[in-house]
Amino acid sequence: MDIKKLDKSAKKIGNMYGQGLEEIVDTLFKAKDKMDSDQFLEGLKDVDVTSILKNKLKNIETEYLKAHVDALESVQPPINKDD
Amino acid sequence: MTEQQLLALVNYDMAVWESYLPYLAAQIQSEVALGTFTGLNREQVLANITSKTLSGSQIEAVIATAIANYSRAVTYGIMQDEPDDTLYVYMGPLDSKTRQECLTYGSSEPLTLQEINDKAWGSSLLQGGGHNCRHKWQSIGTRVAPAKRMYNPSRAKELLK
Repeated sequence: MDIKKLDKSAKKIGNMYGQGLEEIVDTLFKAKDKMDSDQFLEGLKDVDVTSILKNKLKNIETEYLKAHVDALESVQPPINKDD
Repeated sequence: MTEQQLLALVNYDMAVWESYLPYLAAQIQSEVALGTFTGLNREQVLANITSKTLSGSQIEAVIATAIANYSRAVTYGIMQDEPDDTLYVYMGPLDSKTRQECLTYGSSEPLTLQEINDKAWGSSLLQGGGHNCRHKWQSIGTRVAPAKRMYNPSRAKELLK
């Protein structure tokens, strides 16, 4: 297990997640500021936030998959084998 | 371990991630709505969301754990195909963060899979020491294999003058 690579990938994904979350909340707040509260709340329930998250955090999926491949590649064959 | 099995493990990890998103989405909507009612600012809403879901650093730990578990699962799959006398050592960083159980496994002599299970350490094969663990059992070959090359007392006696 390549600990440095694993930690780097996990950190990268954590940052992507935090940034993505901030951007989504930002977008919703900008929309809120453009209309009155009732209108915003009425529209909010129809917003497909799951799809927005999927698109916004697509890079996490890619990085997560890459981290699995890296982990697979770093699985070592037996060492000290006397053959 | 087959390619299909390796892929299945990855797909299950991806499915866990995907299944988290609808929950996160619902919490975002709920907290943004609550923030609108109560006049909270963006930062306060964001803090409320991450207090009810996962923060960036928590996601980091979840991902690190999942990847380490995947690595251990692949190694465990390989172990199933290795000879019964194959020896394993518990490898990984030794520092102030290392758990006591990981230090116990790590200070052990090389063990066979059967010996690991006999010590009731079987869960460490797939989960290491638990959440965020950076250790795993690694094959080092068999007891006789290194001995033949590096330690052969009868041959030494023959050569002794």
